[in-house]
Amino acid sequence: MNCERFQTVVNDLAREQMMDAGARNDALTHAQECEPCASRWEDERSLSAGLWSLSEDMKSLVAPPRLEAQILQAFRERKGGASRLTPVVTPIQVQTRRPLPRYWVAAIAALLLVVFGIFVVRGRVPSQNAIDGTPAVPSNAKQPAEDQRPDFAAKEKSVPSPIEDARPGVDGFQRIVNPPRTNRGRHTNAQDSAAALGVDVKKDEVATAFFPLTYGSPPNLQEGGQLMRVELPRDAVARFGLPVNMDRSNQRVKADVLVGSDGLAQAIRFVH
Amino acid sequence: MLSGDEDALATLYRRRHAGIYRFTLQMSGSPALSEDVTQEVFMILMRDGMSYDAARGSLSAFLFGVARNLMRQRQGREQFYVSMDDDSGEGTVADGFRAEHSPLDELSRGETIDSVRRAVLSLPQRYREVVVLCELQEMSYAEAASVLDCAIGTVRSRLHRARAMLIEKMRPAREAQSIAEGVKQARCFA
Repeated sequence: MNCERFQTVVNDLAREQMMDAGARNDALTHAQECEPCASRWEDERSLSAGLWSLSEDMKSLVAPPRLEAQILQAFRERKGGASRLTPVVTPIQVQTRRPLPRYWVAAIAALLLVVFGIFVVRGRVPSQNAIDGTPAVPSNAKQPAEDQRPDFAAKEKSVPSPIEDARPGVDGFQRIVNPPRTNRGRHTNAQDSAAALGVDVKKDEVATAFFPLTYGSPPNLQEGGQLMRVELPRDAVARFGLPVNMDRSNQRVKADVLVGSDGLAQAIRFVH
Repeated sequence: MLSGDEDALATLYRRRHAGIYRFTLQMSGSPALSEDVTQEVFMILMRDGMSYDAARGSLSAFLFGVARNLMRQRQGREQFYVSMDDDSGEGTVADGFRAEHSPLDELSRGETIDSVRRAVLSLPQRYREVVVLCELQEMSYAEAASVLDCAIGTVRSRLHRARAMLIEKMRPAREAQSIAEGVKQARCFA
């Protein structure tokens, strides 16, 4: 036992707390041998005696009796008011009516906000289905395996030779067919427009979905229009995110272009 | 009590109110304040009794904790520190700290009690709390830690520091008392 150790145990020693008997004896022995620690020991004992005397002196002190009467009166008034308005709540019911912790409320509010945001965002994204009723092929969509990709060249089937227009083409376009003008029915998507025009893919032809060429509202042929069969360089297919067989890059592909009454191309699909 | 049983409240009050009252009196030295706080503690128990969780501690610790918080609120508005040098002899808020009828009539003991009382009231609040709970209310370290919502080690360290402060505050009083006792003895032999 040294002075530092004695300082740590002198409180418990003076307060007569439970402690190791060996440590207690060592501390008392040290207090007899060390004068500063003996003085500290005496001070602690005097303080403990004084605190004990104060505690004993105050044990007879209680609140005045009128305090109990006031509390019981308030309890009766509270019970009377509660019984008039609501039924008596049992302890079990009280336990289940604990207010929801604040963090749960915050978590629920955050979840509702996220769900609301998702609905708002999804509602703003223009749907590709509005164009042709079928999902379009985005440029970054996962492409099928190489051996599964449709090769227009491989699936080429016999189709009637197109009638070449004498007028020169622009940007590789060649006006092949000039079908009659459409009736002025209401059409909201390119596929319906093509059907209304009476020009649809033939039985031995395979076509992609219509790719919109204009931003904003989907193609609308309410004012009339026409569907033009054109031929394009094969690399034009790649511009729409479709796979291209580079071995046949010098060959042309067929496409149907939906042209509005203003003469502007509104949508295109590739035909094979 | 929560189910509306008045007898249960009366029993609970009679069993717990004295400790609450003495705690607030030892913390403040004011009987009036102690009555108010004691009453408020039981009003809160009636009103918000469902907030008590037995898993977190005993009912006694809950009641003492409420009393402690109420005392802290009031001490922000009123000052209840008693200077150790206040010997004006006039009535102070600490006068109600003493029992009306002391079991012992010895002057030295009465002076010792007064000296200790004033020393305790002069401590900073966080040290006064541990002295009142551990020394005067005779709570264990664990019980006091539950009331104060702190670690047991914190209670021990604060009590260690508080006792050292009390010894320093009471040293001049003890020295004066020993001198006075020496003078009395001299008179006895005169």
